[in-house]
Amino acid sequence: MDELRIVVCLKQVPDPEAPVSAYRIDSAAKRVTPIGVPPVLSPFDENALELALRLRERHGGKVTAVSVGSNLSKAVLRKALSAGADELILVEDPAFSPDFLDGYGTVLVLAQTINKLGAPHIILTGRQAADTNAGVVGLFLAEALGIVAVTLARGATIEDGNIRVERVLPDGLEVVIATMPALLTVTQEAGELRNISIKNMRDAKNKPLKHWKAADLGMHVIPDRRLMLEELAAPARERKCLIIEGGSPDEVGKKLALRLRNDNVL
Amino acid sequence: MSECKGVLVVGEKDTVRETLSKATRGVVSVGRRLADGLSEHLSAVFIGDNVKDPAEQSIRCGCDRAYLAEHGSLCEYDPDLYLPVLQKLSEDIKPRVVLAPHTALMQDLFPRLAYRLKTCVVTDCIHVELDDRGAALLMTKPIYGGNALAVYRCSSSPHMATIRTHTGLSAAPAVDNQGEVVRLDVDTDLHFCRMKVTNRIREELNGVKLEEAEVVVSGGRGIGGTDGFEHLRELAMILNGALGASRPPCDLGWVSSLAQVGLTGKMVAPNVYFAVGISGSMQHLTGMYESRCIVAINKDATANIFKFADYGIVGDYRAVLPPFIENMKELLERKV
Repeated sequence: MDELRIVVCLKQVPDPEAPVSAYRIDSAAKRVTPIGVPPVLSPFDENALELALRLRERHGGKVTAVSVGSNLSKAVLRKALSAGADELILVEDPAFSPDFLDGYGTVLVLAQTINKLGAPHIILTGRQAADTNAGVVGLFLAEALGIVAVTLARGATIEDGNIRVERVLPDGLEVVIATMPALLTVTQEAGELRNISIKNMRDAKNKPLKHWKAADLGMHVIPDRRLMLEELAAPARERKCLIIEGGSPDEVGKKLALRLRNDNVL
Repeated sequence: MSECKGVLVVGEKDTVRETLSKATRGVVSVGRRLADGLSEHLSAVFIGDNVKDPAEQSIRCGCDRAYLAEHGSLCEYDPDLYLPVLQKLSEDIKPRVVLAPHTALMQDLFPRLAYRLKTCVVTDCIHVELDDRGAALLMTKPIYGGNALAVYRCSSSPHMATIRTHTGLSAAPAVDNQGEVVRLDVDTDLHFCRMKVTNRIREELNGVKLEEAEVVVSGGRGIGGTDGFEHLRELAMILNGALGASRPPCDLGWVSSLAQVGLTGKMVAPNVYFAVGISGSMQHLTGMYESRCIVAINKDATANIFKFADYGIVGDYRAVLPPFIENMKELLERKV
């Protein structure tokens, strides 16, 4: 096999760990505006990047990070280079804003990008994005490229020209051997992205960062959306909490037990 | 689009009991509601090596027709084998709506199927309904980790959705419904085997299954370590419940990641949910907020979890839990 080529697809999202109060929901504009929440790499995409770097450590090769969108934050996405990716491609165009592109459109752009890069052996995505929580783009991309897809990967190695994937099940784990090229969607069990040092960040400045636009991909027509957002609302689910109080922990514990019993909860 | 008719449920069987899975039953009742609203048929399809029983049960639960793709080669899920069956069926019967429970298998299968049918899919819906004209399916799902609820509509056909399968989704009781079972031809030459499962490790389950438990006792970062979870285990055992956790204890290795409750873990809706040392991040709340009763114990009076709880104790669980367990035990024994 020639040099291993790995592509990791990254999405920039509002920090999912931000407090609830930071999310302002504008139902009229059908938009969520995070207030004072900086964008981050979608956490599952970080897991995917980590798996890519481990594959390269073991088998050699090159890791290319790709992100598609509009208003991409270079500071956020450059983290991929700092963590160890060899190059970063920002596929950025006003036409690629989420107002125009749904999951299907994003996949068409990603597929064009990957075709332009030259067929990789392995493509990695997060299991789902932390904002839309759809879990569709990875599988759509594999279908668009006509390659095999294994979901919920927590680890992978290459054996005899095939990829061996450890896949998380609801009640355990399974090992899947798949042909390459293959796309894996990566789950949090793969582990967190490695720590980044100041030196890593400095070194990343010398790595290639390319900007491609729709025209560079020969995309002159943006596909129609298949998915329409009809409404956006804040979930109403707060409850009235009865705080059990007492002079000592013993008293409080006892009062809670009695209360749950009397209210027929238990 | 107008030629598309009817609702199709892609069903799963309960592999332990060899019956229609509880989650599928819930989706069949959702499908029945939609089909009645449209005055159209409800069908279900089952793929596997032995799926006649669940197919017949789906008819008793309200399906007008159950399709059966039965073959020895289909005993294990392989998308390369399952997709052609579903693609052909969809192209033949042209359903308006295709639904499935949001299980691990369907999360893997449905996006692939949607792509092949040249449509889209909304995953993990908590509600689906028809619009006023009955033409489009409105699909509601939590986004931004549960901070917002989005309602989507799909401009292509069929409209596809996976439905969240918490226990709160009430399954229609089996009635004396009549319907037909239709066997599908399975092309067994299709196998070109691009992937193969070589090993499977199932984690031993002690006690009640998390998703099916009536009581769930969950711990968060505030539990502090492996030892603390022993208290929670004890409480879960006394109440015949299951042990759960928010994401940090799983990431830190204090408990198995299979115990994770939340957006990327298990979705639960038990009668009683104990959240101990859990601050209440949205991604956790999304996985449990439909519980009938929520009890929160946390040192921090300002913790987000108290906004979502019915009963709360502000205090150290190490001090509060032992007397609570002691008294609860006594009260439960008195009942018998």
